[in-house]
Amino acid sequence: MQQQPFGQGQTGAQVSTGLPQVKGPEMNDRDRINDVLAMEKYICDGYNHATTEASNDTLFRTQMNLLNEVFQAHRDCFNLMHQKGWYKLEAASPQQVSQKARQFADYRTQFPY
Amino acid sequence: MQLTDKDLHYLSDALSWELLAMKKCRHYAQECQDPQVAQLIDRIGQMHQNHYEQLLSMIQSASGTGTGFTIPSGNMPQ
Repeated sequence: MQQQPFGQGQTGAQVSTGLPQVKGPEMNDRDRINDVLAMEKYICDGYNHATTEASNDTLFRTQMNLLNEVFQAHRDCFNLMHQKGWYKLEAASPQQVSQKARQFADYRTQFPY
Repeated sequence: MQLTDKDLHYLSDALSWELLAMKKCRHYAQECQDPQVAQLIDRIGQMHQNHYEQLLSMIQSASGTGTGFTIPSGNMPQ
């Protein structure tokens, strides 16, 4: 994975580590953790639905608890991938950010309360 | 605890995902080169196994076959 210039340099390590220089068809560590990340996301979706539709509070609380842990597992994967430079993100342009900030601040005139 | 048909569907789905997840994590963790990645994936696999036990005990307590106590049917909390 090539390094990309990262505007604000806010998101920490961006250098890929620990991967073979020439990649073949076999799965490497990055592929494996990526697959676990995708799986956790899928399971989060499932628990999200199950929890909102639980018929009783005991079940609701249990599922809510599991959902929380799966969210955390997903986050742990993301953090490790990011730390290893396997999950690159681009900074939004400061102009775009302040334009949006202004736009939605102006919408406050529409608030009903 | 009384379970509805819908609850049972969701629970069955979740149990299947958890089982697949723990197997996959165990398999991947053993293949990983990087000890940090291996450790995280292994820990996540154990979490899924723990989730499986929790979900199973929900069904067991609803069926009266588990160790959990059973709330008499027709007396759903809330």
